[in-house]
Amino acid sequence: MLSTRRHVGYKPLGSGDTSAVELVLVGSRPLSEAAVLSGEGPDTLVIDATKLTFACPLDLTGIVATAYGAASCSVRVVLRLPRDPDVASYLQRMDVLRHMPSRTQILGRVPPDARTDHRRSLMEVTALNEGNVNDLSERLGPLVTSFYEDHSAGAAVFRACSELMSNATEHGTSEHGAFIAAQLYTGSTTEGARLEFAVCDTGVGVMAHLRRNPEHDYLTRDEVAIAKAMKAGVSGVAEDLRGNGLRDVIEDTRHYGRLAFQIRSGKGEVRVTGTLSSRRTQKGRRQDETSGTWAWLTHRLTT
Amino acid sequence: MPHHLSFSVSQLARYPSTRDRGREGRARLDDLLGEREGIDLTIDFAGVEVMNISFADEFLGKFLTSHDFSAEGTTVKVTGLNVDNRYSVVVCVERRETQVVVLEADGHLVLEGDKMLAETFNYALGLGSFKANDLASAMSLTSQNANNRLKRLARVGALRKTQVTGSTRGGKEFVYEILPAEVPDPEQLMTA
Repeated sequence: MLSTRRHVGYKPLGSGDTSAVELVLVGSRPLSEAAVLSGEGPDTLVIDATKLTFACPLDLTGIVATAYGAASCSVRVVLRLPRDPDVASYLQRMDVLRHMPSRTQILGRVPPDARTDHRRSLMEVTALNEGNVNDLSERLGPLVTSFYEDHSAGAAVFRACSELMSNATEHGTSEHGAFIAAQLYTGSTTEGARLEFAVCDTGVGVMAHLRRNPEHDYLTRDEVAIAKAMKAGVSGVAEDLRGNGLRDVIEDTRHYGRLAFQIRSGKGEVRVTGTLSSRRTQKGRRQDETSGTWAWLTHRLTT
Repeated sequence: MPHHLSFSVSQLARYPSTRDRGREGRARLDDLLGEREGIDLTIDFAGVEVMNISFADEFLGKFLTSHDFSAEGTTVKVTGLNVDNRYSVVVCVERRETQVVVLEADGHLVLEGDKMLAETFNYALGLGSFKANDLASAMSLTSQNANNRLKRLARVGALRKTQVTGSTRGGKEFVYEILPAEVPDPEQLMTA
């Protein structure tokens, strides 16, 4: 999530500073690429989605997680809805508005909450915690596996998504929770058939988790920690034979199609793309800061 | 006379995918076994659509490595695995460096987790009830090597090991029996 303290310097209400910080979402998938915060010492976070033209599961869960991060610092949250009525309706349909922190101010025309049954093609933004993770797996399982004609491909992608959910509840817990969303695209209107799944937690982040294990307490850079967590047997849990979850996410899914996988945490980000015959990993520093861990998985059957 | 017990994993979930659920399942399995000895335990995955490796490890991997089934006279097999759940089982037993017997849909028994022990298990299937020297002869192994392999197989419940009473030979002597390649009729089963 974008920094709530160090980067934008939130202060509790009543400090005398009444300025706002804006998170401006422009174009399609803004949170997967870049999100720039402007403003100093805010009492208010304005999430400006007026120019949003397409939102992926990461955007949906990221908006909610960002809002919760701000609200947890007693920062007032304002959401400006997209001008595009279809995008605004999509945010409504995916329960973004429903999951915003209480007392969030919504600006713009709130679309009617008219919904048809899309249980076979999407999972709305949903709060994820230790108490409901097993129930959500039971919901996500049929959704993911029914998308694939090859049962083994669907099973591999479900294993990957469920590992990410399990990580978020086991290692990424915080009082502000975690959020997931999934969308299956038939490809008739956008970029080919694919599954997208995102989970954004507001926990300690990858590096702080790994550093709990004395073997990894030397880590000082987020992107290095994320890349390390993707290797076999690397975990913040010192217990033997743990720490294969992220490796399995990558290796399992790229055997059945084309994988694009992104994890951001703290100031770091790692992107992995891969197929059965190739794998590419890119580490990078972000200008913004994610408190907790965001993971976004896109899987296509075509290679 | 061994008692048959069966544990249905689908009671936990159709899509089990957390370590927490795996711990719960393992606790139920341990409760089912209790202090009993001489059990033929079948862990049935029928009805489980997909499980992830974390669940498989926490439930099955740790169950297998937390017991010495040879000391309890207990055998263990898993059944009802679809191809994807079998993958998760194989990955978890290989990472734990343990083994498990799989009862295939066609009634065959196969040991997963170690090629050398799988070969040994196949020889044992042909022998039925036997002593270490029988296996050593069949596989052209030293007695010590055969004993070591049988000890590992009995420990994971792939064979039942029984001490021979009144043996005329020095030291302890054991008879090994292959575990049953079927799930008994429901009226003979204690289930959980």
